[in-house]
Amino acid sequence: MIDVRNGTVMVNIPLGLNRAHGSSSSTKPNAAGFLRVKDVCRQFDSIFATRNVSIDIAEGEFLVMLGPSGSGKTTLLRIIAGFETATSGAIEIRGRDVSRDPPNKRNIGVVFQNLALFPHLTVFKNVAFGLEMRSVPNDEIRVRVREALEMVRLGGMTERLPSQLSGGQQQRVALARALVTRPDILLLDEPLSALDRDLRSEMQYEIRRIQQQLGITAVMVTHDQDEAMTMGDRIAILCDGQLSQIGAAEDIYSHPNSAFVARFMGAANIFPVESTKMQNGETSARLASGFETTAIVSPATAEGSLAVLIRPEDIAIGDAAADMRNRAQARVVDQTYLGAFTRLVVDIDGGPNLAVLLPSRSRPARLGEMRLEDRIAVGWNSDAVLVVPA
Amino acid sequence: MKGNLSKKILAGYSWLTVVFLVLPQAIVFLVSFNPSSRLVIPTSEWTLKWYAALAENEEFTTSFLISFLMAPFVAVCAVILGGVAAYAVVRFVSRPGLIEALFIAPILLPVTALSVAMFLFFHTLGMTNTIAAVVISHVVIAVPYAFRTLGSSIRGVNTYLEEAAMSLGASRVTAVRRITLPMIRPGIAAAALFCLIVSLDEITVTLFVGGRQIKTVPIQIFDQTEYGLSPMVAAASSILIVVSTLVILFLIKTIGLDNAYSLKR
Amino acid sequence: MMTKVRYLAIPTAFMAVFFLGPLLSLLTISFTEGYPLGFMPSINSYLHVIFDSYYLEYLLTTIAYGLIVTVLCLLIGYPFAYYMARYARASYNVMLVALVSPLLIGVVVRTVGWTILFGSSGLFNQTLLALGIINTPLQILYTPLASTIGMVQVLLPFMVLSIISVLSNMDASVEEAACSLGAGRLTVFLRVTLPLSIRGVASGCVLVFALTIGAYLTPVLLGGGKSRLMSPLIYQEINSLVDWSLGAALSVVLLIVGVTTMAIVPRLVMRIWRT
Repeated sequence: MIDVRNGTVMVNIPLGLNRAHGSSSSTKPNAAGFLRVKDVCRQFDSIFATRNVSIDIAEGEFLVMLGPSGSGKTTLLRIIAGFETATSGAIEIRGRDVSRDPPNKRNIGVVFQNLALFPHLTVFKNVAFGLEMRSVPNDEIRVRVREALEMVRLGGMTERLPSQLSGGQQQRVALARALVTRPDILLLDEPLSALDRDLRSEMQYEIRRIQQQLGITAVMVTHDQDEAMTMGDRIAILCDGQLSQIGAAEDIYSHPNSAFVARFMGAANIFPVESTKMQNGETSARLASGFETTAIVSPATAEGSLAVLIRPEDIAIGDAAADMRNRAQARVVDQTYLGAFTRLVVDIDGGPNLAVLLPSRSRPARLGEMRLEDRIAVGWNSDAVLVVPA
Repeated sequence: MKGNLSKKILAGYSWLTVVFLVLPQAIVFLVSFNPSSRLVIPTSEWTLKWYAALAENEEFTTSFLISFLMAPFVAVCAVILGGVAAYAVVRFVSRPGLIEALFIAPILLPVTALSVAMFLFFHTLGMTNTIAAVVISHVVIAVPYAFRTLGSSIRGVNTYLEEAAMSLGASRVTAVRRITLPMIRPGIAAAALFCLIVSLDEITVTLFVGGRQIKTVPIQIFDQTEYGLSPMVAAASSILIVVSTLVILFLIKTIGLDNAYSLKR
Repeated sequence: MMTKVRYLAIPTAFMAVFFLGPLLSLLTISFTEGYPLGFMPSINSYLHVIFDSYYLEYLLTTIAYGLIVTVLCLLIGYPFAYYMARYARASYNVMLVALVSPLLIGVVVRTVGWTILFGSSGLFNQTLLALGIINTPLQILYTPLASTIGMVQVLLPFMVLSIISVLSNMDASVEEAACSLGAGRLTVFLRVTLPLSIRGVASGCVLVFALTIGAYLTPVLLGGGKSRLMSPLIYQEINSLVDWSLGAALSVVLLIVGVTTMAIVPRLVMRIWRT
């Protein structure tokens, strides 16, 4: 279930940026536990910012921590970096407990939300800073800074001040500065939130490219679901300081373990469930409105209130609905053309309003002529409906 | 029209206030250039002879020597003490109320009470009338200015920058030395000049603690006025005026004085 | 956390010894009798200060003096602050230099200036005599008037800076809104501007009052020896009469008046104004 990228995609990079330990396989720790977050809690007075979070991150993996603001994702990143101390629990990097180490002893690279470029230092001096701290000889500093800047495609700007660069260029300097020291782990705290949309997707691609090229282990924080899916090998979803779900983007999208995760991953049709029952080996869920549908019950489901999630793209209309396990008559209440897709909202007789997502090209012929208030047949199979904890 | 007129009246009034604020300093300054030994503002003839007389006057030259040696020393001490305290308070202390009060209070208490307190304290130690006691009390009075000025400078340096330096391998001290200090250089200069002026102009505490034995320039001027004012005293005062005014201009250029001098929380 | 707080250790120790230390000596000695000749614990000094009408008069005079200077600073300073905050553009920095100059130029120097101006053969009298407005020189120097003028000049900046800081943070469109609703200039000022700037006024007043009652040199040099103020009295007790216990007790009273004003008045003002 876990897509582990353990650095084997690494090609031989002539930049000298390969991490020094990359070849010494004898000291190589268990790939699955390169960075371990062990049962970490962080309490401010009586409020938990982070509560019993455990995550294992493999070497070379790109983990994205996704959650709404206040979910504790930034706190967790700062604990990994060492800017904050966990109230309990531990952080291990390459099998070593670093919980008590200050940030400067952890061999990390951090890209900050506001980039935190040193405003009084040139691009060169900014990137060279970490190397100077490690007492790297001047000749080598020059070579490595140049390589790092070339890697982020920013050669020839070494003598400028950060204020003389564009937003995207500053972003690249911050990335080069974080990577030039060959850190064990790259930490990114919403690094792209200040950029506009085009630049943002360009940088998403760039960061991903460089991360894979170097095979570096990376942890990024974001509140943007698309960004998380674009960049992460795995996504960890946090809510109220707790880890809700962790897994590959596809896993989480198709098997959310709670209504919260489903909603956060962009699902549209989520309804509270009044009761469920087993009948002929099938589960049937009854909504508050009395409407019933067959469904699959998520393994995460336990006692307590439940919700169903019906994926808009799994719903068929018109003739295609005839073969489906669940069928109903409905009234069209809204229709929005979204380019590749067309989104309908239908009001099911005796049931809820459902969002339906259809490919615009392959839509049934009738769709083009459809008007608001038209009556149509809708249908879906059991596997389009997931019962999850509310 | 009505609004315009009242605005003009207000402007005129404000300039009158400005005149009132600078009047005594301006008079002293002008009188120091007058050729006669009377205290008048020169009209036709201007002279520097009182400054020459000042240079010949051993009492005054000694006082200037004392003041101009002591003030920089006081400034350096106050900036270090106030700066370190300000850094710690800004970065690490979440409820700074009490500790902040300790570093601000010396300039908010009644000067007379503070002077008596200093006098009694140093008397108990047998240190009254010593230069050490005067220097220490000047530092105590100057620290609040350094604390305030540097506190606002340090607040202006984003914590992220130090964290970035630390994530790149710098220790806290190195991060401060390489990142924060260069960025707050204007603030440091401003704080140092503030403290310099405070020490240069201080008289009440000096009077009590130094008992007129440690003759800083203000004490010397104070002594001389007892024999009556002379243009030479005005010349000595004018030197202090010029130094202070230069500092004011510098401060306005670097940190914006309205923020720096405000004593509010 | 503890390792971080150690940065505070040295500065705090310095201030604890050389600032709190003196305050402690002051307090201790105020509870003795006949110090420095003897060291007998006693509250006699305080009994004197509180029950002896002679000292009480000094205390009340000092407070009255403080109030007068405060009110004058407020009346003179508010319009000036208003002008600087609202209208002064190019002249702002010039006015600022003028405003700060009394603060950064020592009390002795300023006193020399006032003495030159107000002396019986000073510029002020000579001008009036030359113009034939008066026949004999006015006695201004060594009167309460001179010391009040001197105090107002040096403390006005505190008042003005306090008021400016609230006025310039206040959105001018609030006043415009009041105007657009039909309020006249005076109404706008009394109902909108003044209440919104009350915080600055309060802190300015408190500061001016506390600094006035504690001032020593200006009242002595400009007001002459006859003024019945606490500060010269304290200096006398310490310097000439050799009853330091009494001087210390007087200082403590002065300290208490100053500190309570600073601590209580702003809160009181804010509370009254809000309800």
